[in-house]
Amino acid sequence: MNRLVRCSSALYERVLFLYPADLRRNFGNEMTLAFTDDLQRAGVLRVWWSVLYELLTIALPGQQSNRFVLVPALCFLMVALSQGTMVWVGVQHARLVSQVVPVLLMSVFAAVVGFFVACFCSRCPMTTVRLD
Amino acid sequence: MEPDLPLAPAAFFILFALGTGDKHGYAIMQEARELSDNTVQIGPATLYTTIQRLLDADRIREVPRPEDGDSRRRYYRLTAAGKALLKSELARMEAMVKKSKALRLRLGESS
Repeated sequence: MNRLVRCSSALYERVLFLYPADLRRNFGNEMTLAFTDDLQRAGVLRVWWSVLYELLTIALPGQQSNRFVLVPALCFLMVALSQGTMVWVGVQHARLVSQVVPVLLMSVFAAVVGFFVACFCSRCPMTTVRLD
Repeated sequence: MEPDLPLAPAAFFILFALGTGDKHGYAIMQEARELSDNTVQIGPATLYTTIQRLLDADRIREVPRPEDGDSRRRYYRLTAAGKALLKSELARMEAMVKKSKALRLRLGESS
């Protein structure tokens, strides 16, 4: 097993907490096994792409009542979408790679900050960022 | 007609894969990929969510691991209700293929 596969498996084990508790409890180990086997057979990018799709279609809807997951995830998605659009526009109009890099770094930074702020807000009892 | 028809692609491929014998989850994933000529990719969460649904609906059941099986995995088998559902879905598909062939003939004649 190469290092990339090992790191991906470890990351997937962490990502599992986003899935509904029943699914995790009943099939968590086998999901990780299937993920690891698939990495070696189908390739890292293809497998992660399907995991991303499943996060949106299975994990998020399954966590509708869990604001600790839903609020940060939605905030992160919104920030990623808005910043992704900025990056795309920047890439389309930039003439030099050096013009794209600052925009890209700023976008990634904003997305990461947005994610952690949302995480903090969703755990704070005084926050107004609540969906339930 | 069965109330669950038409089946979702993941449920169909799981039942189809189990139609050829008992399998564990990852073997089902692989078989689905082969059956669909690599056009259907069932991820782990989709696979096990659907397996849970099929178990709940008594369409498949867990069976003891074969002697040469992988001790880390659980194995599944079609139940009688699962076989009936798969047969109904295959019959529905065959009927659709017949209709589409007839339509193609008509379209070919008219052009």
